[in-house]
Amino acid sequence: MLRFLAVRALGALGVLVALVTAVFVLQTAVPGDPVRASVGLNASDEVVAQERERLGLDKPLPTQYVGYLGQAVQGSFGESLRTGRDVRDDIGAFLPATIELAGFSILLAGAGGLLIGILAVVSSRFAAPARVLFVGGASVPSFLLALILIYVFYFKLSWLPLSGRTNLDSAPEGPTGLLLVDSLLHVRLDVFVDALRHLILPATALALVPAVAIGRVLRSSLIEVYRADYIRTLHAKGLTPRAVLWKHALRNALSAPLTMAGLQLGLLLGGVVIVEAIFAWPGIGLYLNQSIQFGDLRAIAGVTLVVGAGYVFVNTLVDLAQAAADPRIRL
Amino acid sequence: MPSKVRSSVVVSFAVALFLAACGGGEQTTDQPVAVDDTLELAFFADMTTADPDVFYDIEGLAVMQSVYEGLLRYADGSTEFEGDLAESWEVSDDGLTFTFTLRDGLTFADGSPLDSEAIQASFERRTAVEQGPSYMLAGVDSYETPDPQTFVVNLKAPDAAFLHYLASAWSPKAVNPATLTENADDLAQTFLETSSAGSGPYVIEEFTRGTGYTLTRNDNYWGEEPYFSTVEIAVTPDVSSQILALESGDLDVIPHGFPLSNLSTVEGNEDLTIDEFPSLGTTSLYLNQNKGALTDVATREALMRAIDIPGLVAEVYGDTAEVPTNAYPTGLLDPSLATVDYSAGDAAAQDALSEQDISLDIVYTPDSSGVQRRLADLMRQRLAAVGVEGLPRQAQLAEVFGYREDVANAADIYVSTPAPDGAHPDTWGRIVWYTEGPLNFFNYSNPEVDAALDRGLAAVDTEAAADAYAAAGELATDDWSVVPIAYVSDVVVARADLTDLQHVPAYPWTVDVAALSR
Repeated sequence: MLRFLAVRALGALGVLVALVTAVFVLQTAVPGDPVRASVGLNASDEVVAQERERLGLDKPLPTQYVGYLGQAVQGSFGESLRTGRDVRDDIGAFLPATIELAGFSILLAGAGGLLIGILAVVSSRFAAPARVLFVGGASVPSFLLALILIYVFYFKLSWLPLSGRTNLDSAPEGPTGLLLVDSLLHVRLDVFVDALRHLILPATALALVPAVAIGRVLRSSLIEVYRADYIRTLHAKGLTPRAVLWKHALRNALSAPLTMAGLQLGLLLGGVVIVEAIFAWPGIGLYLNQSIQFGDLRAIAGVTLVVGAGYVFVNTLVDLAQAAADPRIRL
Repeated sequence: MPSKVRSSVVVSFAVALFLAACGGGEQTTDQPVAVDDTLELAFFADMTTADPDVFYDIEGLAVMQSVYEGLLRYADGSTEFEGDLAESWEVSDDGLTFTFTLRDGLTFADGSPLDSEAIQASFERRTAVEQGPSYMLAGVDSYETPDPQTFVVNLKAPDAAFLHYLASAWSPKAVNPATLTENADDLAQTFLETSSAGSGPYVIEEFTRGTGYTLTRNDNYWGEEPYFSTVEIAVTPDVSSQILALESGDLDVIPHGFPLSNLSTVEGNEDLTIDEFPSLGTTSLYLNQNKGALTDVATREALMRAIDIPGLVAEVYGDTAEVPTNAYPTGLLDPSLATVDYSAGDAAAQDALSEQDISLDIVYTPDSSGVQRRLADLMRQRLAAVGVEGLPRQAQLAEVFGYREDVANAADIYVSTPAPDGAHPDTWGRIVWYTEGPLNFFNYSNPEVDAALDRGLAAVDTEAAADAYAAAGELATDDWSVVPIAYVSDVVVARADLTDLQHVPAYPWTVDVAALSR
């Protein structure tokens, strides 16, 4: 186990260095002057030059690159051109909202995928709708689903709010930054409910495609497992269908869906950038969206590092979950 | 726990969550604020800062104009000056000394008096901070404060645009000197990034990056009390979300960025109003005169005549823009001076275009209304009709600002809608035509244009100044390097119960928040 974690940590380090390198190489490939864009359209050349020097952007790119890596090791991602603050502080302020949204979406996707996959196998009535869902759900991009959800549940039915994390002025701001958790810690049920209402639409927009993908793979795995001799034996021994499913078949069928869940996480994090913009969700997706428009390389690199680290971390968890679910897998 | 009990608990929890989440569509709030007393706005992007001496964006002006005040401003719907903090002003005959008399009873939001020394400290801070808008005071030689209500500015040389800088949306604002003293170590830049220290009708109550801003009424405001006690501004980058919020009544006004193609969908909506206000924003085509076929002025002229600018503008903007009458944004110079003519070219010139095998990289920067993309697309079609290939593509602003460093490899045509800082011809000519001007993207340079602009700026006599700016405009027009094609309006879509919408052409993308009522 320890060896596995050590290898994964080394691999993650390599991935993160490669990501930062890619962002810096891209900067050389894309022409532009983000400093002038940041100080304002009519700023004088003197002001632009002074700002460029202050930020160290007048130095050769390799020097900037080494300096950036050195700063990153010390926990700083440099000053954002757009906000004028350390990117680390910006990410610290925006990340909890994304963790909450992505975490809730992953839970929805997992639960939804499990439900769809199982129902598609055990319920003959659900088999046909499931096929439609598998095709339709996989075809709807998250931004389109977001707009449909907004139109139906906000605009037409007025059931759920459109944007932001909460409407309450006095929502607690700590200690975790996760509003659902903080509201419970402060025993603020009103905030909890309001935060949950704000989460449902963006999380659903993010979760549908992964849920369908997970459900599809689970369905295939379950069908294969149900064909195995030992399942027939379990039925013959008199176990109820429910016991066969939950105690034996599902556990053996989980490996492939878990792998799919890990892969889908990457897509989900990519979708966060668009979904957060549509729902005005104040997370790192929104931060990245605005940073890209500014050509704010340090912010882009910082978010890339954090998202990359998150992706590696969750996939490590998926590997551990696979090992726990299937004893044949050794770490 | 028995499985049935466990299942019941799970199901009950799920049902409770669902009911809690979907129960009731009303927006809850724990503040007993009357709904009609709160104005709901949205910004497409975060404000970079709320510091009046650093802020140099357009999105965010609604906050800055509500929180801070300068000496002068432009009157509603006009390019004429009116006093803001200054009640009156005089300019010496040599154009070097500007004397301002402040209004009686001015105070900052904390109740402390706002006098001439406070104005001087604020002006000096702008120069010391040395960010984008600091250029407005670069020509100042000295300040004098002979008494608390008199503020004198002495310039190094005459500057015909100086009063316009003071009335600009980004003009030097009065900042509470107590705040500057308390945060002297960094010129209060950290404090003012997210807080206010002004004298305007509102104060910044809350500034949350990525989420939004809350303004509350300034109880010590010296002027008329604004109707709305609170202004809530949400950062909402997606225009579709803004439109749905407006139609639902959760948003009161979209002051810019409404897609023109969607205007027809709200025209029949009795709950909404559409207002078009003239602005100084002028859509322009920048032609890279350093590259290929565009190095020839006759070719540039033939290309511009081939795209049928009047037809192009009518098709893209409908009645929300006008074809320019002269080389400057509307209202900056007498329309009879430096006139432009966009009539169709002769057939021989168009035939010559098709024989040259021209291919043009046409770039535009993204805008939520989508007009610049549409302009680029239609230009491609019209150029194709005369045998010229056009390749439209979107570029980020950072890329466009890099063109000056390598014009030979830059795009061929850039579609942009710049707006000058003030309603004076120098605020346009000096940024788009002047050698190394900040919005002179392709390094256009004509020494005669530069000289004419310098003559205009130094002229104390208004007629002499107008003649000089007319000369600059005519020369630049003849060069066909920066071609103004549309005087665009700010299209404001608002809830029908929102009244008293006031707009100043030189203050883009915003309405006067303090003047609004229901």
